[in-house]
Parts: sequence; C-alpha cells; structure tokens
Amino acid sequence: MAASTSFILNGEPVPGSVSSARRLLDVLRDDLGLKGTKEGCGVGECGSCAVLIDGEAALSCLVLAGEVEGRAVTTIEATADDRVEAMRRAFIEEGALQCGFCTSGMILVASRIPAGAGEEEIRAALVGNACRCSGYASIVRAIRRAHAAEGSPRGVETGDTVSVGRDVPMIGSDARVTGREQYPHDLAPPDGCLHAATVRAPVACARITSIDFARALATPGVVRVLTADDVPGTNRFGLAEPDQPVLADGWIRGASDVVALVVARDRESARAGAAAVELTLERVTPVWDPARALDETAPPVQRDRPSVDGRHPNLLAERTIARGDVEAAFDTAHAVVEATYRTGHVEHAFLATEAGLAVPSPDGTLRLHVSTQWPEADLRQAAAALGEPYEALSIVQETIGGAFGGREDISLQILLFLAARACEAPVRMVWDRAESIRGHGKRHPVTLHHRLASDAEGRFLGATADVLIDAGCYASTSRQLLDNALAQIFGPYDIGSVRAAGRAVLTNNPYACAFRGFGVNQVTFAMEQQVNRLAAALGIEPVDLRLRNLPEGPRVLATGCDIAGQGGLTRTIARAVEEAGEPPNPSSGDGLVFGRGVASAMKNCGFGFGFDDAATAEVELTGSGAIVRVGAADVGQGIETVLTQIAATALHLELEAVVVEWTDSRTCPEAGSTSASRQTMAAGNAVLEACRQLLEGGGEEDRDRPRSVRCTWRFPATTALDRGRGRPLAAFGWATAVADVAVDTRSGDVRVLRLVNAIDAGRAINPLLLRGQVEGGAVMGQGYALLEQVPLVEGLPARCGLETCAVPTAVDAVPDIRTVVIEEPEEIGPFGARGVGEATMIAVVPAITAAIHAACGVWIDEIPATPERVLAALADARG
Amino acid sequence: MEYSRVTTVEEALAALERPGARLYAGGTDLLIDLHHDSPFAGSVRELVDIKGIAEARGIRTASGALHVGSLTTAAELEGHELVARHARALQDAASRTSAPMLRARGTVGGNLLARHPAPDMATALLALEATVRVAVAPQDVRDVPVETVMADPGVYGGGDDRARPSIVLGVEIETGARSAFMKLGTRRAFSRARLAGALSIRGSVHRVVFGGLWDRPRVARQMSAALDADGDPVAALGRDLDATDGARERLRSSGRSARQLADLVDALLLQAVDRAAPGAVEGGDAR
Repeated sequence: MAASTSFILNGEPVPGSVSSARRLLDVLRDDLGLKGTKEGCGVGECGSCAVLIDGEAALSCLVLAGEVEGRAVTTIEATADDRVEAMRRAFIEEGALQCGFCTSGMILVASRIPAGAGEEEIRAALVGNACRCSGYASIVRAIRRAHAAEGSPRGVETGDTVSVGRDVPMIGSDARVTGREQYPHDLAPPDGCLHAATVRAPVACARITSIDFARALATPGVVRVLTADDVPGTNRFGLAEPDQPVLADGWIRGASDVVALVVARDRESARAGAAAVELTLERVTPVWDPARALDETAPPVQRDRPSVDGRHPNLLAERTIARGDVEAAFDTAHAVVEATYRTGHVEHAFLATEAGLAVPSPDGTLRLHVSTQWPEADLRQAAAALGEPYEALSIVQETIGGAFGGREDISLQILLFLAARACEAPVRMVWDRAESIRGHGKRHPVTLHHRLASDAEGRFLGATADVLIDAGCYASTSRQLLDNALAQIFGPYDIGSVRAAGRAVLTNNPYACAFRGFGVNQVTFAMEQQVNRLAAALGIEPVDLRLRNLPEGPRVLATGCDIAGQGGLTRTIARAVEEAGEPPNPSSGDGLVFGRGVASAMKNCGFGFGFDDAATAEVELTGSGAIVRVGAADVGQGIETVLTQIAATALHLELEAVVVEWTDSRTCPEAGSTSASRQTMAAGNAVLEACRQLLEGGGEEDRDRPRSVRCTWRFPATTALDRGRGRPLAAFGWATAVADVAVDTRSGDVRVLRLVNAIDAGRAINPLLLRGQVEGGAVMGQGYALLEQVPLVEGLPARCGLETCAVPTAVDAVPDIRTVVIEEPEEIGPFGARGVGEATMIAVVPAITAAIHAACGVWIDEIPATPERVLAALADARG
Repeated sequence: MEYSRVTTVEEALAALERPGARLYAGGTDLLIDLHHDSPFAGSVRELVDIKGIAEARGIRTASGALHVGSLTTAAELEGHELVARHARALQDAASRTSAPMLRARGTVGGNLLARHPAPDMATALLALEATVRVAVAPQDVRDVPVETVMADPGVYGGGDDRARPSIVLGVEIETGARSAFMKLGTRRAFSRARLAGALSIRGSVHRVVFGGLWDRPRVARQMSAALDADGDPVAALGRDLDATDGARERLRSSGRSARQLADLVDALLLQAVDRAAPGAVEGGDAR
C-alpha cells in the first residue's frame, strides 16, 4: 500500500514525500506552501485549481497525490515554461484579470490551447474555468495576443506624469499572474491556530428545541462549541438594522442562520465536530411566497419584530411615490401598455469563497484578516454584537476575490472575532462553495406590475408601478433597495403623472442583499420592456420613442431625481446603435429567427436618501513620492490603480512614485463601502482634494518635506424618498445596450450573437480597466437575462454550485461584445469621472428580452428567459 | 484514508474485500461525494486506483461489436473514429459531458454507475442496448444487460456491502445502429442534463431513452414500439410517462411538455437518420 509519494514539481523533485491519499490541491497548498493554486469549489466546477500534469491541464481538486507519483506537476509558480510566461504577459497587457482568483488556473489552461485556435475553440477549452469578473472577452483576447506574440506593452512611459486617461495595467497584476497574490485562504495559520466550522440546520424554518453538543465536544481535536449563550453582546447584526443573530437563539429563519460554531485544532476535526452536534427542531409553518407573506394572518418570519403598520407581520417597508393626476393621464391616453414582471434569486458567485483569520493581539485587541467591501461597517456590527469596544477590533483586507455586493453584508467576520475571543487563540475559517452559496444573501426577487400611457406620438403621459420585493428572512438593506428602486422606477424619462407603490416583505427564503445594480436592474427590466412594448404598439422605432421622452437639459424627474441633464445617455443611445451596425436578418429557416433589441439605463452613483455619503483620504508626501491612505476596498475592479493614477496625475508624479494603502482599518481612513458605483467618485475626490491641498500648501519646491493632508469628500446632500419630492440621489451613470439574438423556436434556446454596451463614464480614468468592467457587467447581465436563478427547495439552495446557479461559462458568454465609452464629464467627479460598475449590466437585460421579441414576437416578462419560458410564451402566443 | 493502486482484476477484487475500500478511476463522482461529506463518505477508508488495469482499457471492434473499456475517458471517446462510426450517441454524450479537464478524467464505467437521473454516457449506452462486462472473480466475467446494471448499480458497482465484490470491465455495443444523443441543461455547455434523450435505430427497431424523468434513465418502450410500427409516438410517450409514478411531475417541473419531448425525439431521429449507416465490422480493427 502506497502511503506516501513523490513527484516533480515545477522542474524539481518534491523534497521528502507526501501523503498519497490527499488531494493534490491540498498537498500543493498546505504541505508544500504553494498557494497560487486556488480552491474555488472543490468539485471541478470552477477550474481555479488547475495545474499541468505532464503538460496537460488537470483539476488538482480531483486528483490524488498518489496518482502523480513520478510525474511532472506544473503550477502557476513555475518560472521555466515559455507558454505560461507568454500567457502571463498577455493577460496583463489585455487587462484579462480583475479579482485574480481564477487567474492562475485560467493561465495554465490557456497556455495549453494550441496556437491558431479560433474563437470557438478557445472558448470551448475554457468552459471549465469560471470567471465572474471579466465576461471572458479580455481573456480570449489575451490568448490570441499570446498566440500572435504581438501587441505592444500597455502602461505609462517613464517620465510621464499624466496617467489619468491611460491604459495602466492593474496594480498587483504581476502577483496575480504568478500566484503570489494573497487571499484570506492563503494565510499561513499562526502557531496555535484553531479552525472553526459552522453548524447549520437542515431546514430553513424551525424552532430550536435543543442543541446537544456533548458528542461534538468529545470529538478528537474539538476545543470549544459556541452557541448563542456564548455571545457576550447583543448577538445581533445587520448592515442597516441589527436583526440577524450571530448564532441562532431559538429560531431558524432562513438558509444563512448558523446554530453553533465548533472550534478545533484542525479543519477536519472542526467539521467532524460540527457534524456531531445534534439539533432538536420543531416544525414551524414557513412562508415562502412573498404575496402570501403579506397576509395579515401569515406566520411571522421574525416573531420579535413589531409590525411596521400594526397589521402585517412581515411587512418590512412600504414606500410610495405620487405626482400629478395619474388617472386623468390614463383616461386621456392614446395607448396603454400593461404587464407583470418577475425576477428571481441570483447568486453573486464571486470566485473566492468566504475565508478569514482572527488573531488576538497581546494588547487585548482582535485583528481580522478577511475580504470585505466595507470594513468599518463590519467592525461596527461586530462590536455591538459581541459587546466589544469598536477600538478593540480591526480588519486587515486580504486580496478580495470578487464581491459584486455580496461582501457588503457580514458573513463569517463576527463568528471569527467571537471564536478568537472565546478561545484566546487565532482562529481560521474557510467556507466551501456550498456554504458560501448558503451563507450570503441573494439578489432580490421582485414582482412588478407596470402600466405606461402615452399620447399618439408616443409622449409618456403617465405610469404606475406596484412592486413587491422578497427581502427573505432578514432586513439587510432591503429598505434602502426599495428606495433606490422606486427612485429610478420610471427611468430617466419625462412623465408628468406617476404613482408607484413598493413593499418589501420578509419570507423564509434566503435574505436578499446588495448585488450589482441594487434594485435598479429589476425595475429597469420592467420599465424598458414597457417602453419597447409601447414602441411596438405605436409602430414607433424604440430609439425614437426614447428620444422623444428624453428632453435635453437639467430637470427633475417625477420621482424627485435631479438628473442635471442626460446628454451622456442620448449619446450612448446614438453610439450604441451606430456600433451595432446592420441588424440581423429576421430568419434563416430551420426554426431559427433573429432579432435586435435596444434598452437604456440610469444608475445612481452614491447612496443618496439622506445618507452621509463620504470618503476620507490621507495623502503624505515623502522624499521620493507620495503615500495615499484610503480604506477603499479593491474588489478586483481596480480602485487601487485608479486612485494611484489620480494621485500621480494630481501631484505631477510618475505612477511608480505613488503607493496607495487601503488594507488596514487602523491606518487607512474610512472611505465607506465599495458599492453603489461610488468609490471612483468618493475616494477619488477625497484623494484628489488632498493632493490639491498639498500642492496649494507649499508648491512643488516643498515636496522633499514630508507632509500629509487628510481630506473628506462628500456626495452632495440628498433627502429621503419623500413621495417624489426632494433630491433622493446625487449623481447618475448612463448606459445603452443593443443586443442581437437568435431564437430557436423549436427548443426555445436563445443565443446572443452580438452585444453592444455603451457607457457614459464621464472620464475614463483607465480605459483598460473600464473595458473590463463594461464587458464583465454585460455578461453578468446576459446571465441574469437568460440563465441565472438559484433553485430553492423549501428556502434552501439546492445542490449549491456554480453549475446549479447557472453562472455563465466562456461558451455561454456572448463572443461579439463591443464596448463604447462616452465621456460626458460628470460635474462632481474627479477629472469628470463617474462610477460605472453597475450601469454596465442594467440595460443588457431588457435589450436581450426586446431582441427576443423582435425575433419571435413574444415578450418574456419573467427572467431568466429560459428555453422553457420562451417555449411557453410561444405556445401562449399561438393560443 | 489510504490510496492504493492495482493493476489486475484479481488485485481489485481482493482489495474490495478490505473494509471501507472503494474502487477509484476518474474520481469525478467519488471525490466530489467525499468533498461533500455524503452519507457514505465516513465509511470510506481506502481508495483503490484501478486505472492500471489493462483489461479495462481500450476501444476496439471484434465479433460484430464495439468494445469500450470501462476506464475509457469521455475525452478518449470524443475523437475516436470507431466510436464515431459505431456508437455515435455515445460520442455525442461524451463530447457534451462537463468540461475538458473533467472529460479527461471521467470514465465510461464511472458514468454507468453514477447516481444521477440523466448521466450522459449511460443514457446513450442504454439506447445502444449495451452489454456490460462485469468480473465477479478473475475467471468469472459475466455479460449483463446495461439496463440491469443501471437499475441497481450497487450490485455490480463494487464496494457496496450488500453485494458481491465486482468490477465493471467494459461495455459492448453491437454494431450496425444509427444513434444520436441530446441533452438540455441550464447552460449551453458544462451543464448537467435536466432532460436527456438518446435514440438508436437498428433496421426498423427504435429504442428511445430519456434521462431526467425518473431517478435513472429509462427506455420509453411504448414510444419506441410506436416508432417501429409507424404509430402515434406522442400518444405512446404519454403511456410511457403514465406507466411510472412521478415522470409527469418531473417533466412539468422541468418546464417541458410531452409534446416537446416528442419534438426532441424528432430531432434525434433527424440526426440519427442523417448519419451514414454504419458498416458491418469484420474482425478486430483495434485502434
């Protein structure tokens, strides 16, 4: 029996021997310390763990070490493979990496794609390597660039002090393409480090009668079992209101609830201990359907929450907007379109699952190494939940492997602080993919009934909308999302009379949270489909209909949004249509029909609704350059690079002379959340202002004297959503998408042939990174439109995986993707820039559904537009 | 957990006598089950790597049949000329299975024993009416209809405590069939089949198989017979669906109708018939 084995690793024999029965992935990462090989799923679905075995790409999560005995294993750390090296350079130059978590596996697999492979062949070869950031287009370009061995390096030349507007490769690219970048999973456990594992209930709704952890405590290696009784503070957290228990105290309300935390000397013992905890649960009537949850007689999801209106136990928030005489508008209308729209739960699917390490310091404080979008919000929640002084806790950001809104809420942060405090030892926890999908929130499912009225020329007269949002089992930011959705529910159009009523309701479904677009995706799908419906009803070109309802100049929308002109929007429409070229022919026979759709979107930059939306930055001049300190989380979008460019340009320095520090909550001033497309504007302005003050304070001749300036920048003041008055949001981004699709009327299959995504960026600080955002957002929009939905079985995600959640592969992603960048300067943006992270995906969804209608004559009002739904719509249309 | 390697059937069968031993080839199901801490994971003490067993490798034709070793990977089937000629449905299924790195690992034998309502290659093998070669002792190799193996994979899968240790050596497919396979998943590629269909035609005899409607793929016997007799295949399919509990419910939950299933069969028929009739095989043109 072979107990141990040896192999050739990156050209050298592995020193000693390793256990044959361990996964090669574990041997590489844990035994040999090569952390460049990543674990994104452990079940062969993501490709992040790919290595080369005798030159062939292989999944190290599904190979045992004994199988590679005597064979040559190549990992991303290898230095002597020319094809890998060529691919590394090409990935950097094409901006084919963002969060970087998929990059090592992607590069190794890409390095074995034969030169001369066409687009289709390349994408087929990449189908097992998931990337959630890029939309794959830049990766395909990088592979072609490597194969062609051409193209000039991107970047800023030495001596150039104006880097804003230039293609600067992302800072950290070298580390990402060589496997040196450190994610929370990659931290070496310190001496005496313990490992934690969660205990979760097998159901999403129950009363906990008892928790018996005697067997767990008796499990070898187990040190502590923590339950709600061990939480010293309020045992409650929540981004907007503290309604989630750190550890369940009496009730299971949804999938994310953690009943107990088992701490052990190693991960396997912790998991074994967690499996040994015995729960006695009493069945409680659940509520899955948000409409049913609204009943006065519905079982309350949170029994300790007072009803907001004294009648409806699960009503979380209710908002209305009303302006003008809606009934009169509909009475006098020439045309009215009316429909009900539905959207579902969607998984963020960031490639790096949740992981962290909490370490007690000798001074009694606790330090947490983790990835988060908003460190200070985490700390505030943790301090209250655990009864700790805020100053006793701090966060060190490790590299963030994607976020998309899903790391704005707490996941394992408080559990790790709790365990480290309770055990007085460092504690580490890594969630696998299944736990990640179960443990964080999902995009909000929405049901929306919409009516739009116009005169004979297509001028919008009135609109109404009734919105029901499934908030799931906890509040998270659902109230705020409801505000955000309602403020933008009728798009950027001039409509004299509107009425919108929205409700967010608690159910026992997974809690819903921030996700790229924050409610605007759902309402824009509905509104833009309504506009396209009306265009079809009136026989007016959809683009013309939009332009008729988008007068130039500053104005205040019926929802109260002061949009200060939408010149950028009308330019995105014109340029998107121009870039799309000739529309496809309507039919090719064989049941295939073709169509083109157009849609536009607005998306707020910054939080709004009266929130004090600020970022603080500190810039220090050193002898040779500048250090920028600002706690803005780089989630893979490249804010570190953008802020470096802003500071370098403002201070007339070369890029290399500027260092941006953002990872330590103790030394980096608070910049707020990396969300709401706000960080380029908020942190960018704070950095820019600090640089200006430094220059004004002494001029360049004083640069040798170390000085620092700290500045806070605030978005213009906003007001609460107040029935359509006030100024609820401060700034906006604009986008227009054009989609060409082929629909197979026999199978219902929809294929996107071309996607043009035109974005008004105000000013492209870094066009290379901007393109990555636009393409990545477009494919996320494509996935939302056609594929993605989390299947739930009684409130629990079923078979949690990337495949189950239908995260798009390289083969699903549209190959012909065209980015158009408009630069209509944003008055309050640094160098005129505005946030674009979210606007990139919003217009794509209604553009695709409009294209489906153009192709086969049916409106798909529920996304994703799966083949089944398309077939059902076609059958309905046939009667 | 221990890892061991065997190179003969005898060694493999002997290994299975050891407590907690599981045969291991591609590992694409087994290691995933272990990762998920599935119920049997706790009982696994030893993974016995059988990839070195020569008898279970190779693709060849002999005596009017295509022989495919159970250790053959999906990637090996994908580009193989003999498979293209004699078992097109199997090749279709192999090429649509998961993703390249998984296809390079996943084996015919593993797929045959997979606990899934619609394993790709197994669905195709059922339509092709394959015979499975199972060794229950070094000198006791039995030919078992694929349907029997799939109905109760534990019996012939090895390692199950209620069965005599056994090892699947390969499958045999009688040549001369036209065939095709299709599946519908949630994504365009790298997607488990929610519904799969496979069809073979030998002379005037049709064999239609669906995956995804039951806990295992099954032959739609009424529909197959209706196609043979030029009857009404849709009505016959209805009888197939009604013959077992839950099939209609599964069909409904997949968002499809019986009519659409029949359309799928039409597409399979078109594809199969379009393909040149495979020639008879003389002797063993091993490759």
